[in-house]
Formats: sequence, C-alpha cells, structure tokens
Amino acid sequence: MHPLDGNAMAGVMHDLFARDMTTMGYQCTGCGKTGAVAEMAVYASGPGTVARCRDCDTILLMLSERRGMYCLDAPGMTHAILPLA
Amino acid sequence: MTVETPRVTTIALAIRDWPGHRAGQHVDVRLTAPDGYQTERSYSIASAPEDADVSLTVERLDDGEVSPYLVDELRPGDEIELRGPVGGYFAWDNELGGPLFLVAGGSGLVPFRSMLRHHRASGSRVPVRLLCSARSLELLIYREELIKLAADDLVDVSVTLTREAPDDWRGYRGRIDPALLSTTGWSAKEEPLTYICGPTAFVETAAAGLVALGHDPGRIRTERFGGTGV
Ligand SMILES: Cc1cc2nc3c(=O)[nH]c(=O)nc-3n(C[C@H](O)[C@H](O)[C@H](O)COP(=O)(O)OP(=O)(O)OC[C@H]3O[C@@H](n4cnc5c(N)ncnc54)[C@H](O)[C@@H]3O)c2cc1C
Ligand SMILES: [Zn+2]
Repeated sequence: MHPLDGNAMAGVMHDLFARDMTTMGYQCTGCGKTGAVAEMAVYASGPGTVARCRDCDTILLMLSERRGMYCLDAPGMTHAILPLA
Repeated sequence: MTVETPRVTTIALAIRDWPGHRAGQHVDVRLTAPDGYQTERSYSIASAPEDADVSLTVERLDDGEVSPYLVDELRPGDEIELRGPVGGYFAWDNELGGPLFLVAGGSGLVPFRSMLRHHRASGSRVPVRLLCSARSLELLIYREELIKLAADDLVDVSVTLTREAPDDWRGYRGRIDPALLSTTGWSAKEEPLTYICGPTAFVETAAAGLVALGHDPGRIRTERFGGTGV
C-alpha cells in the first residue's frame, strides 16, 4: 500500500468545514504526538477514506460518503483539531 | 493542451470566477459517467498565480481510471468539474522565505513549476535549489522551462536520472539518497524550507534522508501522489 497524505483530503475537508484544514494541527490519542492535518497517512482505496497517525497508526479520522452525505468520525483526535502554532 | 512527454500533457483551463490560488495548491477534478458514477482525483496547479491561465499537468497511468481520460480523451472546449483551489499546507509564497529546497519525483514537479514561476514573477530574492528525479531525460517534464529557470542566479536546478541517461549526460544518475540530497540541497544549519512532492515511496525516502542529515522535520513539507518510486 502506498498511502496518500492529508493534502489529498483538502478538498473534502474544505467542503465540510468551509476552510482550509491542511494546516490545522491535531494531537493523536495513541501516542500523543502532534502534527498538521496534511501530514496524516491517508488511505483512500477502500469504500471510505481513513486517516492514520504517521507515527503509531492510530486511526485519526474516518470519512465516508453516501449519496452526497458525508459521515465523519474522529476516534483518534483528542482535541479534535487545533490551530497549528 | 501541451504534450510534455509521451505520457504527460498540460491542460490549460478557462475557469469562470477563478478566485486565484497560491503556488503549490491543487484542485480536485470530478468526472461523472453517463450512468451517474462519479470519481474524483487531485491535480496540482501547474501555473503561477500571476499567469493568465490555470493549468494542470497530468501523467497517464495506463491502468488508471481518471488520468487516461484527461491525457488522451479530453479535447479543447470540453468541460470538466473542479473543486478548488485547495490545500494551504503545501503552498509557498515569497513571504514564507527560504532558502528553498524543492525535491520532485516524476510528476511531483508540477506544484514546483507554479512555485518557481511565482518566484520569478514576484521578483523574489529567495535562493532556490530544485532537485528533480526522472526515469530518463525523455520523461523529464518541463525540460525547456527548467533550463531557462536555471539561468537565474538564484535558482539552481539538479536532475537525477534513475533508469537511463544519454551518453553525454552531465547530471546525476541513480535514485535519491542522503548523499545526493546533501550535494544538491542546503546544509541543515542553513535551515532551509523544504518541499518534497511525488510518488509516496519517493517522498518517504527523501524526507527520511533529510531528517537523517539533521534537517528539522518541522521545516519539511510533503505531498504524496500515491504509487511507488521514480
Ligand atoms: C494532492 C495531490 C496532487 C496531485 N497532483 C497530481 C498532478 O499534478 N499530476 C498528476 O499526474 N497526478 C497528480 N496526483 C495523482 C492523481 O491524483 C491520481 O492519483 C493519478 O492521476 C492516478 O489516477 P487514476 O485515476 O488515473 O489512477 P487510479 O485508477 O487511481 O489508479 C490506477 C493504478 O495506479 C496506481 N497509482 C495511483 N496513483 C499513482 C501514482 N501517482 N503513481 C503511480 N501509480 C499510481 C494505483 O495503485 C492503481 O494500481 C496528485 C495526487 C494528490 C493527492
Ligand atoms: Zn500516534
């Protein structure tokens, strides 16, 4: 597998949050590391998109789309999303 | 449409109400089949914010769903659906400064064409070093433009060819590694701002190489196109 990164989710996330999310920061619940949304490891080949922590593989975000409706789940983000310093 | 290599075409788009973009951003192209099936892919913007047209450069993957359509079937005058410009992380403008190190594998060169054109158009004084990796000289995109860009004292262009090289080739040969990154880039103490773009495996190798050379990961920005190496 050759995952993409959070840049690949810029378009969908812009639709959902009405702003650029790639420069936002997150903290992983698995290992506590912080990073920019653009740095997440993104797997887009399944029925939905899964974003994992680059350091420990914890699932940070899951996104699926059905008939134009998005379903977003962020199990691995403690403070959902913080502005990056 | 401009043919860059046998597999790569640059497409100029006429877009109504384009809000303008930053160098390095991309758009999402959405195709809809007659039966309503939709699919979407991202493409970096190849033109500078200062250019008159917005253009994309697409490499055809033979077994791909979207790229063969864009490279082989799209005709002047056809309409496509776009979302964007998006992605503020992998963007560069003069205010972000440098020195700049741009590392491209294959079509990973696309966003850097936008950045280098913006560099010139904005009269930037930021010194830039660009390292491109291509399978062969024939497969290196934007060849002529790279030669022109390299004429600028502030812009240094290095090319490495990984599969075949002409007999009189004076550039580098072989895949990217820490030795090549250190000869063609900046030293860690010059604290460059680095952008790496291309196939996923290429980006991982280049980023790991720079971190091993002591570069601050916080000044390395990456964008992965998927797929394997160059
Ligand atoms: C932010 C971003 C910017 C991008 N910018 C550009 C760009 O400027 N120009 C450009 O040509 N592409 C770019 N890409 C890649 C592009 O989005 C598509 O992935 C690519 O065109 C393949 O789509 P496809 O539908 O033809 O192939 P698919 O049907 O998606 O895939 C066909 C086969 O090729 C493999 N594959 C998928 N992607 C790649 C790849 N990049 N290299 C090698 N093998 C691959 C797949 O695993 C699969 O086996 C970008 C990707 C991202 C995330
Ligand atoms: Zn983690």
